[in-house]
Formats: sequence, structure tokens, C-alpha cells
Amino acid sequence: MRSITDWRSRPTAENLLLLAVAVCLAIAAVRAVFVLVAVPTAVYADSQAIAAAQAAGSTVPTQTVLTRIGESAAWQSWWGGRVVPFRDGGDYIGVMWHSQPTRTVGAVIGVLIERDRAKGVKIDRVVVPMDEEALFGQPPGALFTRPDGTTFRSQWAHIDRYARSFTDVPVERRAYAPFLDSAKAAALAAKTHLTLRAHDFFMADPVPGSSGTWVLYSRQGASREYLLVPQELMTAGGAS
Amino acid sequence: MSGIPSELAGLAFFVVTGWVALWPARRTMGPVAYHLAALPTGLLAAAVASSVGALTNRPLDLVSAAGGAIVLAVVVQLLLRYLGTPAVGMKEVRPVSFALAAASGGVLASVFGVLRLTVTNNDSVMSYWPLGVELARKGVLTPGLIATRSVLIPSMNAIYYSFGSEWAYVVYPMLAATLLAWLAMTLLAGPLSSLKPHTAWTIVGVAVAALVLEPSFLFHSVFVHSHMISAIYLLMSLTCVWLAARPAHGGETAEVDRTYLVLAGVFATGLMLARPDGLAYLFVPSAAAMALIARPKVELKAVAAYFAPVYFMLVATYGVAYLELGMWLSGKLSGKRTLAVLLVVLASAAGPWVVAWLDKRLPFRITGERFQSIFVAATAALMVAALLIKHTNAREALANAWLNIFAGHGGYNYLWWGVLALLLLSLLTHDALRRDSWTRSPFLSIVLFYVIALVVHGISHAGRVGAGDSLNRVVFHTLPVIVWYLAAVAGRIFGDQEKALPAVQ
Repeated sequence: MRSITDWRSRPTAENLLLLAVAVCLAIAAVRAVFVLVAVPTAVYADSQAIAAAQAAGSTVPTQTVLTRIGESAAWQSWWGGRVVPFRDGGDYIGVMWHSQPTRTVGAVIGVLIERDRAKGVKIDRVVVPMDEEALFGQPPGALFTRPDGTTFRSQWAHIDRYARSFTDVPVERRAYAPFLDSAKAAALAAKTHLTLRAHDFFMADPVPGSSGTWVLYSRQGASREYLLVPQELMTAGGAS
Repeated sequence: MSGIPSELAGLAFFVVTGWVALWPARRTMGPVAYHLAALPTGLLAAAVASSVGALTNRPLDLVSAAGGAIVLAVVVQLLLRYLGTPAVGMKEVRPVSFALAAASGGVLASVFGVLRLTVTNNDSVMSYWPLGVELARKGVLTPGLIATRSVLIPSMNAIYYSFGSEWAYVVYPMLAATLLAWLAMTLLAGPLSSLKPHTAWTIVGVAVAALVLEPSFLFHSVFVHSHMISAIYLLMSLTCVWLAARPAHGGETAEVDRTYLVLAGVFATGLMLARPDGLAYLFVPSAAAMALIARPKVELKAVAAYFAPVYFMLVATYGVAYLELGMWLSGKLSGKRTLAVLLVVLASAAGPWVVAWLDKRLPFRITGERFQSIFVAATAALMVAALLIKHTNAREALANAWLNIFAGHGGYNYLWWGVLALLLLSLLTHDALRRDSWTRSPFLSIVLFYVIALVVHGISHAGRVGAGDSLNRVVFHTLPVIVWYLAAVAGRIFGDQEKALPAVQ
């Protein structure tokens, strides 16, 4: 008895088409299975290596599981070099920042200002650097190397313009040196009780009775950090 | 963190709007299609709400959102009642199905909400979301919004923002899940409806698996951008045209189901408003609809069924934009350019009568499904002319497209080689151009989409090499349609064999 799976009863072109569909689907399935096996293996091996390095006293950059998945070769080949989905930070604006170029800093500031104002924090004005060279201490377009060895080029961000999409608080551009070295940043963090609000972005505790003017600082440490500090607490950098 | 309650509230707002708007079509659609179509239909209220806000001089807050939802629901209801085909003896939508749809949708949305997976690029962070926040705070339409993003997604974001969301992300995987279910449902109701259940379900399973296993589909399921939204509206508008036609049921003499034509027009407006270039891609479902309604004797109600929702949304969005902004300037979609395309869209409603008039005078026939072939050929000829005139830009655009889509730089691996091979093989099996079939219009729609894409990118936007390139992302919009088409081809092949079986047993 013949059935619909009987290829002899079909024209060659139809058999070829069905065969091609089957081959395409099989390739897709095999690749997906390979990724499902290879990626967890790679991430596990990576975790073991990090644990060993930490046990040996080495400083290891913090990475989320999703970041490590994204760095595995099997995943990259399958995913086609696209951005890896993320969820770390507990705050999408922060997560965005972690994965985006510097342009997003204005949006992050705008969101954080509005959030903290809603909690009663006095923020009347934010000062951001005017000099585009100062943000990273290098001219725009300079090549930077991340702790993981990957590189990026700095790109000037219109912080004030992008912040305006999120807040009515004036974001004022002034000429000052916003770049902090590690020692200054650590001293500042200790003095101001900086709070991690979003990945790589810190805000200091507000000063009681303060003017409400906050100043943006930046430092390139293990990861790029941004600091939003009440003017009264600022000692380093020389805000005007 | 963006709260899950605000994500669910936004979804519920859009779904309820869709339920109300589609109420007159529920018996024709049946419970599954009715509930699946609710979210994409309700989402269109966002675009109307931005105009309500602009006209009443208020932000796009929950009051404007409610105004937009009411206007959309009333207009769609009126169109379905007065232009749709009355449902006779169709499937009833029972109250319990609302509870089931709400529960299953709520659970799925909560899962996506807890997973908190999202993908962004600069457009997401610097444009779609801030424009939404700005709309929610000020309610002002700006040239930047109209020209670079179109109103739908920023307005949707504004409504989410008004519900307390700080980053709308659950709607994208929800739309992806809706797309998969709609693909399966329309295949079973259409080209696979005459097959034995196990054959039909096997083909549907393979079609759904093909999309789920494709990384670009998974990527766009969480990518905060216009692509999943465009893809679902393209698929839904086209499948509604095909379900309105129900091929092999009498060709040009068969009655058209106008309810599905209204739905096709409604979903085509989503495609039109999801991106600025959506105005150009609107011609893909429009050509398929014209092939259905451009008959020797044109039925006014059928023409109105498809074009009335399109006209309504054009007036409600671009009309209001002209009122508010005048002739806006932009390097992308300026007021003048928009007006030129709008005039063609507006004039195309007269097309069926022009085609019928020409059909009587020409030595060859151009009505019915012949129209779509002729339209695709004419547009392709225009494309070649346009690319030759703008040859410097066109050469760069084509080179980038080749590198991205076929040479691996766009992140698709060998996907498009496989698609190309399958499309060519479907030409050999004669399914691509088979008369009065479920496959001819899908094939021509796919070709027309690429012709338009090459015109849009060839004359104005050469793009760049890499996965982030615009054309490289836009080609994804056709992927569900291609899968639908290939499933229909498989259905035809197995259907022929099933019919032949009793004779050889």
C-alpha cells in the first residue's frame, strides 16, 4: 500500500524541495543542539577557571552568566554576532548602559534624576562636562581596551540633549575635568557613600540642605564607571 | 527595575482594546483567531492615542490612551459591522475563552517578565524609548518622531510609561508568541485545511520549529525595535487577504470574505506605522488585496473593506502630523516625501476600477490574480530604473546587502542560501505561480517585498556591513511569510498525494 511518504509517486522537483526543507531543518536542529550542549560546558569551564583564579588571589572581572554565554565560540557562531540578550543589573537603564556606547549616559542620567526626585532627593541642576576630550581623558575616536581585552572607540555623547528626553531638570555643560583616577574615585566613594544604582553608574547620598546641584564624574577602572555627586561633596576634579 | 505589573497592565490595555474592536468579527474569526488578533489590533490604539493627545493639547497619558482606544475600537467596529461579510453559522466565542486567553496570556507574559531578557541598540535606547517618554510627558508630535521612527512604537512606549513602566520589553516576546500561533492557526484554517489532521499538524510543527530554531527569530523576539512588530503585521495582513480569498473556491467568481479584508486593512496599518519605511511596504499587502478586489465587476464594499481602515489610520496619524507640524523637514522621511507616497496610497483605492476599465480594453487580461504578477513586474522594472539612476548608492547598497545576507556578515549563517534554494525549487514545482492556489500570492508578495526593499535602500540608504545594518534587519520581516509559503507548498504536495491515494490503493 502506498502512502504520502512514498517519494516515488512524486515528481523529482517536489522530492527535491521536500528534501531541501528536511536538510535545512536538520542543520538548524543540529546547530541548536550543539549550542545547547557546548555553551553550558564552556560556561561551566569558565566558572571553574574564575573560581580557581579567585582562590589564587587574582582579581577577576565580574561577569554575568549571559555575558559568558555570549563569549563562547559556539554561541557566537550560532547567534551570528548579534547582541546577546541581557538581564543583569536589576535595572534596564543600567543594563543598557553596560552594553551600549557612551551616548546612553544622558538617558541614564535623565532616568536616575527623575527616579531620585520622586523619592524626595533634591536635584535642581546637573553639571556635565563640556569638553568632549575630557570624558575619557582622550580625544574622541581614541581606541580603548576593556579589561576583557576587547576594544572600543570613544564617541562623544550629547549628554544634555539625551537627558532632556527624560527630565526637565537642567543639564548644564561646563568646562571641567571629570576624569578621576582610581585613588580619587575610591576616596570619593568612601566619603560620599556612593550607591550602586545601575551597573557602572553610581550616585552619592544627597547632602542634607544641599544646593541640589549634582556633578558628573567618570573613571575607567575594571569597568567604566560614572559617578553623580552632590556639588557640596565634591573634592576631586575641580567642578566650577 | 521595570515592574512586571506595569508590563501586564500595558498588555491588558491593548488586549482589551483589541477584544472590543474585533467584537463584530468574532464569529467569522472563531475564538482562536479572535483572541490572537486582540493584542496586535489593540496596539494600534497607541498610534491613534498620540493624535488624540496632540489634538487635545495634552500628554499621551492614560486619558489620551483611553481616548485613542475608544476611537480605534469604534472605527474598527463600524467598519466590521458595515463592510464585513455577515457571519453565518460560524464559531461562537464563549465567555470562558476570554478567561482562558487572559490566563494563558498572563502566565506567558509573567514568564517573559520574570526572565527580563531584552536586547537593545542605539535606536532602542536613544530613540524609541525616549520618544515615548517625551510623548508621555509633553504629548507633542515632532518631526524627529514622524520622520525617523513613525508613531506606533514611541506611542506604545508612552502608554507603557504612563502605566509606570521604565522599559517596555514583555510586549516583544508576546508578539513573537502571537506570530507563531497565528502562523499555525492560519495554515490550519487555510492551505492545510483539506489535509488529514496528522499531516496538517506535522507540517505546522515543522513550520513553527523552523522559526523557533532560527537565531534571528529568537533575537527579534526580545529586540526592542520595530522588527517583530513589522513581521507580525506583515504576516497578519497578508494571511487575512489570503483567508478572505480562500483560493480554489471558485476563482474570480467566488465571493470575497470582506470581514477578513477589513482585518487585512487594519493589520496593514500596523505595518505602515511601525517604521517610516512601512509606508512603502504597505504596497505588499495592498497589491495582494488588489488582486482580490480588482475583478471585471468591482464591488465597492470590498474595496472599502480593505482601504477604509488604511485611510482612517492615515488621517488619524499622518493627517494629524500635517496639522500639527505643517510640511516638516527631514533627511529621512520629510513631509514632502511622505505626501508623495500618501498620494499614491490614496489613489490606489481607485486602482480596482482602473484595472477593470483597462482589462476591457487591453488584448490580455489583467484583473484578479494576474494583477499581482503585473504589479510585481512593473515595480521590478521601476526598481531597475531607479537603481540605474542612483547607481552609486545602489552599487554600495547591493554590495552591503550581499555581504550581510549571503556572505555571512549579517549574522544569518546560511539561512538565506537555504531560503533562495527553496524559493527556486518552488518555481520548479510550479507552486510559485500556480493559478487559484494558496501559494501564488505569498510568492509574489515575498518578491514584491524585496523589490521595494531594494528601491528603498538602493536609492536612499546604502547601509553598512554588519548585523546592525537596516536592510539586514528588514529582510527578517519576510521570514514568517516565507515559512508560511513553504508550508503551503508542502501542504499542496501532500494534499495531492492524499487525494491520489484512494485511486491507487
